[in-house]
Amino acid sequence: MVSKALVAASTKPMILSILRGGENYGYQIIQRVKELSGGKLEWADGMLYPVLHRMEKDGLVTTQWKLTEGRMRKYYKITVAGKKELVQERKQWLSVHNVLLELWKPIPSFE
Amino acid sequence: MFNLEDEINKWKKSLRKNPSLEDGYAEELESHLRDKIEDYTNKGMSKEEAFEKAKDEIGDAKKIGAEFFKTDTTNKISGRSTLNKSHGIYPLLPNFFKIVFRTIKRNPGYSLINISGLAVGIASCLLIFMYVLNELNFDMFNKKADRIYRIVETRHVPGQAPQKYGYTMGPLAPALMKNYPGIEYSVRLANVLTTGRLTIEKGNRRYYEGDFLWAENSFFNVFDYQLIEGDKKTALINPKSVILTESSAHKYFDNEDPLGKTLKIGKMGNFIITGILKGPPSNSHLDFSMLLSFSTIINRKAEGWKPFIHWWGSWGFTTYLVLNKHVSPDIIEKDINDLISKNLPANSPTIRKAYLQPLKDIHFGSSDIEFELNAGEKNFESIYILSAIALLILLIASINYINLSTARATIRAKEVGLRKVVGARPFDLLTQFLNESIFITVISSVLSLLIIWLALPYFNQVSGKDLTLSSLLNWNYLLIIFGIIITIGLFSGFYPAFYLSRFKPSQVLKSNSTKVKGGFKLRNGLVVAQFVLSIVMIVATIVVSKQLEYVNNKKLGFNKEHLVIIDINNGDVRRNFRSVKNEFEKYASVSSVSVSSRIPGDWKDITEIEISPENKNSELTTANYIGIDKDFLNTFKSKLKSGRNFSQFHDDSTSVLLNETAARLFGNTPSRIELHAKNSDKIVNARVIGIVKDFNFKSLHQKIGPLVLGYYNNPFRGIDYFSVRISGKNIPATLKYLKNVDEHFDPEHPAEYHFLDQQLELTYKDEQRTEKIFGIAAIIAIIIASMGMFALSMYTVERRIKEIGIRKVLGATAGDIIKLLLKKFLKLILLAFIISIPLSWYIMNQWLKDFAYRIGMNPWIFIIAGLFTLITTIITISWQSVRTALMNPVNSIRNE
Repeated sequence: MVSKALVAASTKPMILSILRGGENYGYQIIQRVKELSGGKLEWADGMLYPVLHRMEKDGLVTTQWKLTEGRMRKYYKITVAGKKELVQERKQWLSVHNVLLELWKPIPSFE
Repeated sequence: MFNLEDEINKWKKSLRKNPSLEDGYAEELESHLRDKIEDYTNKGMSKEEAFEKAKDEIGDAKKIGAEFFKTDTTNKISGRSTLNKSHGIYPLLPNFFKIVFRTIKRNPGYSLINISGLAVGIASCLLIFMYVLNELNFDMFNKKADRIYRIVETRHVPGQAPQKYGYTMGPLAPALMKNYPGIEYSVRLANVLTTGRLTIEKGNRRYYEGDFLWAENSFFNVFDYQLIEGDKKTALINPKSVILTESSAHKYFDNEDPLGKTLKIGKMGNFIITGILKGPPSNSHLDFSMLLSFSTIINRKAEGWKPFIHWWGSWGFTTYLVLNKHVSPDIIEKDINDLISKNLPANSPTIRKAYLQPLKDIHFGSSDIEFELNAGEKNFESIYILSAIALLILLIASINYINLSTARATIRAKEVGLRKVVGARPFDLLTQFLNESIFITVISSVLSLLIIWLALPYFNQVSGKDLTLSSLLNWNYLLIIFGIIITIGLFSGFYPAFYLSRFKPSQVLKSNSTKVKGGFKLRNGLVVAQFVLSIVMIVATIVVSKQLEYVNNKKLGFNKEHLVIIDINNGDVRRNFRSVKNEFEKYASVSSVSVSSRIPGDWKDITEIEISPENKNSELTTANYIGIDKDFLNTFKSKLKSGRNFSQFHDDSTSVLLNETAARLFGNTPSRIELHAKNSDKIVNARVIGIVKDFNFKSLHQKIGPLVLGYYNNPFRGIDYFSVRISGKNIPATLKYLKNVDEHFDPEHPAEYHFLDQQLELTYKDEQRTEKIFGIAAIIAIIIASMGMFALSMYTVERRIKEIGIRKVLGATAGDIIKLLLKKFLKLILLAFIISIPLSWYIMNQWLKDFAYRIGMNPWIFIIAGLFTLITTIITISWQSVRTALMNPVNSIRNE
């Protein structure tokens, strides 16, 4: 399983990226992540919402309750600031990622 | 039977109890839960199984809250994001406003009370400050103020104590200007005391005025009164010129522009209006409604003006000098006294000397000077008292404000999650409180400005001033005010932070251990003190009102209703009074008419004489003297105790009536007494024909003294009034008739008449003003005291919240809880009550000493005052108590 620290660090960019593709509600986001990771990332239900709320307070997403399929659901939508933030997150993530890739260029002792 | 909806609802309820869940969160989780359950039931699980699994996966309320906190990137106290800490202050400014507004919105009741309490305190203090400023700046609008002096004479009549006079002889000023170079300008003024009242005619309207000044045209060289119209340099040069104040212009000319028009004044003919004056301002010792040119009288031979003004033995001319720069007043004083001693008629026994009184000393330093022009004269003590009161109000309001902020901060610290408080950087705590407190202080100040603006017209009316907010627009004052406000704001930010930081973290987390020694007694003591003040002010207001009611309704020993007093202003009327009386009596609504030299409750001084038993060289006692006719007793409905009234069937020219008090001096049944005039050698040997029951011929401030009622034809004082008793019906018509009769006999002067009862009420106008002021003070005291009580109650309730929760669980009703909370405050009020009774009794007793006839202080007064305070307290704290009493005990017993 993936360490807590990594999960924590990746939550925000993941959510922003998912929302970049269109608005979504909480349960749907969790399902999506599970799908994409092939089950390796299973976010705890209770963990998602605090992050979403924090992101709303920081102005990265906006919310709206919508009636879909017979039930009221709270939908999250990325904002302009959120998109900007995603660009930053991507940059930061990729810088770390590229360093690690460089370090992990095939060295016999690794495998 | 498993019911999904019930279970979901139960689950939702348990979520809601967690205080860290924000609004809407429970709904969102519910929606999530349902989605999950749907998924599972689609996969084939039973509803019950699906519910249980979904519930477990979401986790219990506590874990959700914990997750919430873990990812929370906001500093709980400051509300700022902890993510990027190095932004500095500026980008945060909009955020900071948002936070403060949110804080205010969340606690509207507390914020409102805090802001308005402080605003009232600041407003009261500022109003008093403005008043004191006005007083201290008396006459300072004159640019040459520090070189202007008034000539004050000391006159010593041998055998009497020397007396100071605010005016001097006519020729002094021009002689000084001519012979001594140190004087830049001089001006002479004369007023009604010297020249008598004047009839003013415009068209068919007539007025009889006394508040004018005769002034030389150098008036505007000495003083800086403003002219709205007309030229300062020339307005008073020519004889028969007059400058009107704005209000006089309005009075005589309505909305016309009077410049260039004329008014007929006295016997001198038409005066031309050469200027309109603004003011005079309320802090001017000269108060007048018009300025008449001195040149009119200086050479006027009629009425003997010319010789009088040029005579060195004269008096009555108020004289001011403007000295040249660097000239010492001592030298000029010497010059003045040289001139006087050179020119005074040699045979006058009175010694006259003069000194120069600086302009700025006139307002506060003239208590021993008689016959002076000095409007609004005051004692400097009153300034100290007022300033002390202003500071006291500000201090109490500030302390209350700080108390309330501290109490509120303590509570909020717990609500917000004390773990963060304990871990929070002290700086964050401090800046948060400082931001809030300065912001709120500033709002209070702005609100106080609004209060002042609204209250100023009323304040001016009561105080007789013309204060405006612009008087504060001086850099010095603004700086002081700004400094004080910032100090209050800073202090009320520091203190709660300081207060909270004194707690040990473990103490704070246990919500009932926020005891800090020391603050407790002080806070309670302060509340008690404020309530003592409130009760004292209420008692004072009630006592003053009751005393006023008493004096206005007390039986005076004569009947003051429907009594019209008509002044006699003309020698012809005085001589032909019998004819006038007859004409008056002819009218049906007139029941009786009398003439007298003075009337009971007269606004002029009642003549004083000295009396002694006949022929014995015994001590003289001072008594008052009124000359009357036979109809006096009947008109005033005073009662004769023994003997007989004046009558036309006897020769009563040397008869007198005594009142009981006078008679008692001479063994109750004197038959003859001696009357000595006070200022001359006249002695009248009088026969006592009767004794009148005592009546209040002076104001109720004084005890009834000895009174001699003599014949109207007497050497002491001629008749000055008609007293006409009229029926209550059709009063305007009756007055018109009386006016016409009087003016028929005295065409020179417009008829002057008053109703005696209205006139008597005016005697107590100082007390009426006191009544208003005390009333206002009581209201302010209560507002501020309620604020203090509110803070105390909020704090106390919070400390006992666990106890209250437990009591409720054990079965206490809301009513029981309220009673419990009230008990504590009742003790404080009782203490305040006990202290304030002797204090207010003593203070009001001293005030009442001013009246010879006064009310007794009924215990009901104190009880009412106490009850009023009690009710106010109950209202103030009821909101807190009720809220606490109705709270779910579970919430208060559970810790966080």
